[in-house]
Amino acid sequence: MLDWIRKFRRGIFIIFLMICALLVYSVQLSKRETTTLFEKVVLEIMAPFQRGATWIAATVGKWGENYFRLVGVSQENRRLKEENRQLRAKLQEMEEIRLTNQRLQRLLEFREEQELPALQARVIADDSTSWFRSVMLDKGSSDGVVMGAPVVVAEGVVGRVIRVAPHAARVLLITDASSALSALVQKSRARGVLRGAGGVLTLDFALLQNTIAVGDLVITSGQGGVFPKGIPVGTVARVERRNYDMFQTVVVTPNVDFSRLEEVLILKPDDAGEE
Amino acid sequence: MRDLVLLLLFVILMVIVQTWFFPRVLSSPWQPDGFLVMTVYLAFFGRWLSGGLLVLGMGYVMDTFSGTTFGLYGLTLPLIFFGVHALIAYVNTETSFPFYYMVAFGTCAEIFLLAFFSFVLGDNASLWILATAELFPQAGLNLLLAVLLLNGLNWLRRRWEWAASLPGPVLEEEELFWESHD
Repeated sequence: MLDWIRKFRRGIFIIFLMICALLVYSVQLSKRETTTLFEKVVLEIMAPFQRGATWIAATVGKWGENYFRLVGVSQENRRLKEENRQLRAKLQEMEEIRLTNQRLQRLLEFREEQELPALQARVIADDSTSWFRSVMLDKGSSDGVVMGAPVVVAEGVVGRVIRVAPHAARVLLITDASSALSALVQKSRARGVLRGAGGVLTLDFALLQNTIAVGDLVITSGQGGVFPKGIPVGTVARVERRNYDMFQTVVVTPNVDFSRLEEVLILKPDDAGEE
Repeated sequence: MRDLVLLLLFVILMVIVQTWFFPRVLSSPWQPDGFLVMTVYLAFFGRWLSGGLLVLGMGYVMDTFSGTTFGLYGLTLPLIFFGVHALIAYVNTETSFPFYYMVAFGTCAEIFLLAFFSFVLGDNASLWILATAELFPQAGLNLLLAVLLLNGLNWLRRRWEWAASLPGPVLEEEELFWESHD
């Protein structure tokens, strides 16, 4: 028996390891709304590094900009250009502040419109793969973030929190293939389930008799139990109707540009869940 | 202790590159999968036991930083590792070409396994559609990264003594810069 085990120890170890991995995944499938200790620890360790990377990039970018501007400046007009550059830098700084202010103002207005308690957070990292769509935020359970909390910006819905560590949280974007939310077309009130499909969304189960046109706004229906009613999600980009089908195929372009996400609002679920 | 610190630094670097550097520099929906390329690299040049355990850990780190259910990459990456490790007995590992086609094979295997487990055990049926549309650009980017990784690591191993113990293809003695300058 021992000889047999010794002979096949590699195969036995690999099978054992794979069974353990399969078990971990199976167990987690039934406990999706929890964040494992491993994830909490890794998120906590990595959050300062990701914040640091964001800060370093901003600083290096500023230095790089200044360096490249210096190249080619002649001795005669150096002083004038220096002055000009400083003014420009200040102007750019002001422009950046103005844009940030504008974004925050819109978020604030949106927050007031919603009349919901919300927490502002910054995006500090993206998804580690190309197949899934998620982002990491710099706020966590110590700031009051809970699993499943809806995340929005002034333009519309972003996603929901799927993992929480004390000082970081991961948000599953609505464009992820596993994401689904209850929505309705604002004009015709046609209901359906919006599913992520990479860069776009598809509105499933929209009945054929409902009139849906390209350009119609799609909003949250408030029936999913996660998002409050009436938050914009996207605009209808394509509608396909076949007479023999029960439902029509509706492709929706999200309102939010996910490649430029910087600040978001995390809604408090107690109030957000009220339908 | 030194190996443990190096390993920790390596994982931190990988996560920063994967979740911060690639999305900002490439600004496209696709980004190279550094963890997958590293999995194939370890399967090719690493030891089966330590490599397998490291890949399992990398899988769980990847799960933490992606929108999946925890455990999906922890299951997928070791399967690819052991699959490639079993296959290399039948390929000529003296040239770098088999490494590249194993990366391409690994990319296909990864998306097949992710979609399969998500569909059979989970409820993410639409990953198939996304996967078929994005497989070729993903494989291309992974191959590009594989070329950079193999050449970069070989350069490190030739140049510095401390890096010589890193897993990789066998280097000739005259190729070792640090040995000829001792």
